Amino acid sequence: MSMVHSWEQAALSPLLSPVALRRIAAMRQHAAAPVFNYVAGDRLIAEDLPQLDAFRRQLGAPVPAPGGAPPQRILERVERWIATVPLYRQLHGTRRGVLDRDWSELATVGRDELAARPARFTPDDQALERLIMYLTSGTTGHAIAVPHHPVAVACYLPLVERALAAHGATLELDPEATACFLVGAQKRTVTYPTALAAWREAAFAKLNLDPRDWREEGDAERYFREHRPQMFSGDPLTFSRFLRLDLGYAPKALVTTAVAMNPVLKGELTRRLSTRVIDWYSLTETGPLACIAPDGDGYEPLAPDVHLETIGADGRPVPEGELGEITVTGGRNPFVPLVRYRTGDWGRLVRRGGHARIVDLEGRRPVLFRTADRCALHPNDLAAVFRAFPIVQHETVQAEDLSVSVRVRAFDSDLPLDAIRENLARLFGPIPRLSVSLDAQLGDEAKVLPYQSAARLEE
Amino acid sequence: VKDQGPSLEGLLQHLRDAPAAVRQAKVDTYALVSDVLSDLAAAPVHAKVAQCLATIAAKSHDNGLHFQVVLAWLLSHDSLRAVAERDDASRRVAARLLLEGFPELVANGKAEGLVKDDERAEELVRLVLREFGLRPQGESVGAAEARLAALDSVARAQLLEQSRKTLERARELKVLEAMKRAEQEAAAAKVSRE
Repeated sequence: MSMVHSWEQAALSPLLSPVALRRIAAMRQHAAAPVFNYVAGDRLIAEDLPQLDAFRRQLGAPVPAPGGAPPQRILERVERWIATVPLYRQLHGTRRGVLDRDWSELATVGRDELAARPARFTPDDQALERLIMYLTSGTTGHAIAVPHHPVAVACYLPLVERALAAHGATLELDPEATACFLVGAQKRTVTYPTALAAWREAAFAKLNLDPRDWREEGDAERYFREHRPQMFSGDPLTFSRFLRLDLGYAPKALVTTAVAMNPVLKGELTRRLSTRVIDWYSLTETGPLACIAPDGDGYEPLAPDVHLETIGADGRPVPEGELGEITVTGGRNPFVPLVRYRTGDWGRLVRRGGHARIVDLEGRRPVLFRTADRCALHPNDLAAVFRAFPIVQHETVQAEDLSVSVRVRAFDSDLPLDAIRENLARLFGPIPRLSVSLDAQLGDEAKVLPYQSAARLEE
Repeated sequence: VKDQGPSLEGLLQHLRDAPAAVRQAKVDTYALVSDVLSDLAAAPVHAKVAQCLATIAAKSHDNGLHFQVVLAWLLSHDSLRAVAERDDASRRVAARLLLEGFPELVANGKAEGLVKDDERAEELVRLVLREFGLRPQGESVGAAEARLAALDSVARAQLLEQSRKTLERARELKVLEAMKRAEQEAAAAKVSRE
């Protein structure tokens, strides 16, 4: 382990008390601690805390109704950005004063623009001293660099609190508490313990379940049991390993990245760990957007400073309830304010009891498969098959000749491949070839594109 | 600008006297442009008016249409009507102005400035006269050219645009520098995955 100096930790966590700094040191030196490879802090300074409190209070405000033009308070921010952000000045300069009327005409932006010239998203008058960087891989695996701000990152905390509250959970936060472990299962990723000023110095750690990160077998389980984090954040692949752990206590929640959580896995985790599993929809570029509704019927938008729309492939808004690309305006990253930012994720915006929900959220533009007689087959029909089995990742690829090859990764050792194949064969009909195979490494190297098709509708 | 035309002051006063409907663009652009064209007996088919106005609206929205309203008001002045009606070539110039305007001027500012700001009004009047091959009454060719060059809002806007681009580029490099610096440092601890 590289030597960690307390001054280094203190510099990255300027608000932490000596008690909290000692706690972090103890987490590093714990007998079951992993081989931590990084030092990180929240980088918050005293002036940030009132801003965070104001944001927390703002979360009581209603989330904007989806679709159409954003509410006045967001339009006012967009007007400012058109005056100060080079990209928006260029794209929307002639629309100042008539944004409300012309909203659906405004050009959209996306990952490509951000990847090519990120600095053109930054307002002219934004101070640069506190700029930090994150890399995001996205579904395509092509990583882009996103400038960010410590306060915008700390805003995740009130949003997590809000999501937990919606599901009936509250964190107890003090310097003795362990608030959250973010867990991954990757070949290599940064790992560190720290404490969070905006969570009353409660401890947080980023950990990797890969055995090479730990000194002894069973250390991860022991580290979890002894620190008892009140919640874990992670992805379905990582959480599938929790089924083999004996935590010895019931965490308040597992917050899992959206889109890919299989309901069988979710049910098993909820039952075996006596916990809540909360699907979480968040992008590095946008920050957290929504969490699963307590009734499980779609995602509830979380933030009143974000306006959501769904747009079609032509860039025009789709009618409420129809499938479209989730498009975001607003947010709180001062280096990348968003005006009609296309997320690359698709879903339907609907209303439930007067509130917005995102249903049928998909991590990418939907594809259609073809049956043997070349009728369209929706991925939702395949998803229904996969949901019935203990599958943590799956990938279906249809070739031009309609052959289909399916790879699945199980979180249970005995996966009835024949039964999956039979169910899929019923959907596809007599296509030239249909293979279903196990791939225990699926998703280890890169994000999986669950549905891919090269088939055309008509011959 | 080889010939002398109407008095500059008379046309400027006409712009200053523009009724509220023209100043605030509360008038049907299509009807006004069609009327002025008919008066000049240079009226093309109505579909062409609609089509040209649609092109202007698509490119420069309400401001472009407001610009045409002010231009139609200016061309309705007796002295300019007399100029436009003197021969077919002049009628064609008037029709072109009414249907196409001065796109490069539209891009440089709000049309209401043409009836509020003396310099912009003067530039518009001089440009319109120049289109007819005229200079203001009582001015020498040299003086008219020098005055128009001094008022040239397009050249001024191009200079401003150039310096804005230079500033933007410098700022972009600064942000990229900050991003590069930040890539070498630790980011802030983030509690959830994306």
